[in-house]
Amino acid sequence: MNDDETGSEQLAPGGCAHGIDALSDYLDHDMQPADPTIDDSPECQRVLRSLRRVRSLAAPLLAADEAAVTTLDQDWIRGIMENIGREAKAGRDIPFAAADDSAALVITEGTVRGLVRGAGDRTPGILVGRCVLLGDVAVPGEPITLRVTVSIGWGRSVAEAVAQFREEVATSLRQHTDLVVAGLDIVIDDLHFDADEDDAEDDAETAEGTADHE
Amino acid sequence: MSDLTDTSDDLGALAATLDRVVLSVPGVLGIAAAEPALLRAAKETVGVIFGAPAQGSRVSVRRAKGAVSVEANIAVDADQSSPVVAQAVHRAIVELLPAASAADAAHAVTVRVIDVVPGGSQD
Repeated sequence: MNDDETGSEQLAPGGCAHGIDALSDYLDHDMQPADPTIDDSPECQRVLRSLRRVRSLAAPLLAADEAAVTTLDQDWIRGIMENIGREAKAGRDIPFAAADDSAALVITEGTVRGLVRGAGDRTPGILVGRCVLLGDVAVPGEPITLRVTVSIGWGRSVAEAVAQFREEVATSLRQHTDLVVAGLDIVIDDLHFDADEDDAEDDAETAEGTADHE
Repeated sequence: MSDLTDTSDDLGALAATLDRVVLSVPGVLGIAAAEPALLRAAKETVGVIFGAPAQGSRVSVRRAKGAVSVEANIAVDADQSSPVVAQAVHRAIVELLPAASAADAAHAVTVRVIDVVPGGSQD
């Protein structure tokens, strides 16, 4: 038998070999010293993007009054981080319609969950907690259902935020997968204080005001 | 295109060439090794210790019974379409594979999208 190989045997794809705590520490240290096993791993990069997003939401909460941050808040942040770590795993291979016997063209389940999380990042007031793909995603054309748990920013219109998020998810999945999504169940299970546009604008105005006085 | 023949010595060259070709496909922002990072690092370390050349390529190339199987894990630009990019990568790989003889099994190519990178967030 003539078996040669470079690279690897049939093993699980890529994958981020680092835990959520290690990646969190890496962010704490501004990603220095550079670790190629993180920097060169798309899956680690996907986790880092999600961690940055959670941190951007959590930072004002912590800065507002560190002593007032309750165990509940910490558990909430921790829970989302654990979901990010769990969902970063590659999971099942989801075939594109063009795949055939000699060509397996697929996108990983973890990447699809990342797309949903990214849709949440682009929707003001939405933070994705958990995303589950229900159904046999490995069978092309098989209808599946997405169940997504989200947190809504305090003071946001739930109807508007959910509608926009739904549209973002649909657009992203149409662009990057051939999944037949029969249902998108969105469960709102929490509220959070938004840290995005308004605060950023306030900060910018404050900075401009300071500059004007100099 | 490189003239790559189907000999065992050329598998490494084929893998290295495929790395470059896959990365040059529009919409591809990166390639990841087709195995866990720690296992890969361990294998490369062992290779250094025992004098074997480190496998720098990330596209995996194997051959069994005359047929070549290729596996490429790619990161795709979010502004592109992943199915379209995956097909383009597949075409680019197939063009470089040596022709299989009638007695050989068919080549197998796996293109796996393992990340979709939003604009401006590629670190």
